[in-house]
Amino acid sequence: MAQAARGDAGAFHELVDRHADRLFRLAVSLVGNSADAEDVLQETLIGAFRALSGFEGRASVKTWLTRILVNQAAHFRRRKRATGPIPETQPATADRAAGSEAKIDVQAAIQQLSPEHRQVIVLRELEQMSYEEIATVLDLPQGTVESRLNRARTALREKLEAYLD
Amino acid sequence: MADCPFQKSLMAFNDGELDEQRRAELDAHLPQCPACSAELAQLRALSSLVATGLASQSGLSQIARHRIHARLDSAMDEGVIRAARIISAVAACVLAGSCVWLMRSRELSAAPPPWVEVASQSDTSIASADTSSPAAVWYLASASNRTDESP
Repeated sequence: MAQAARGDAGAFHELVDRHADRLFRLAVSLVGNSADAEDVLQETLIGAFRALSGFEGRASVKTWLTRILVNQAAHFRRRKRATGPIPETQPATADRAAGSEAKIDVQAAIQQLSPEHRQVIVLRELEQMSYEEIATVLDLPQGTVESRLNRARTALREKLEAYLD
Repeated sequence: MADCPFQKSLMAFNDGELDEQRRAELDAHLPQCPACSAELAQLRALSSLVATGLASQSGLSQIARHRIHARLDSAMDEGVIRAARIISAVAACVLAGSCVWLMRSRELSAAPPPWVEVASQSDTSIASADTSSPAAVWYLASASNRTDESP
């Protein structure tokens, strides 16, 4: 990280390789499809490169990158909504064939949540972040994180009831 | 279940967010409360279902990874080009400033120095001075005496 911050391009590419897969899955979960997720990831990494000199090391690199990505994804959805309604995302046919119905329904149910609820549930269940880490990434009080998580889970339980009996 | 005081702590318990004391209390409570146990089982099942569903999404393909690295390279180059442009602009400003300064200093050196001008004005004023005034007569006479006395 220190080398990357000094402008070492090779070190930054290594940093990208270490985090790209995790960030891409997070982006897909937040924006709903691979093509948009790639754009969001690209903007995230370019933004991170430009902001490298401002990285103070108060949060971990993981938290820092996650925060940039979550903001980029929110910005992306707002921009897309401004140009027209966001179509309901459906997993690709190959994904359908490869994954079970439950996995597809889970992904669809998450996309139906409000952006605020989607963020907390994805950071908790996919990233396995603590409430404190989620609060840092989203710049929210920990109590707000907990209440949003509770509401998100209540909504998901209703949508995925068939798989929970 | 709704009346159970532990109900509100179940989510934090499931997420590993309770402190040790509260966790121990809940651990002791769960075997005695079928409602809390059932609720916790539901929370665990939901977490597992959601985590599996999210983790099953395909990762970044090699082609996409390559595209991202290429885009990053061009963004890095853009940064270098931008820095080079700024440095060039600053250098051009310094060069232009130096040229102006050099030209002005040449103009100044071509003109006679200010003391020459003052001296010539003094000569003119002496030449055109009124020598008939009493003060001038006295000054000229004393000057002539000084010249005569000198060896």
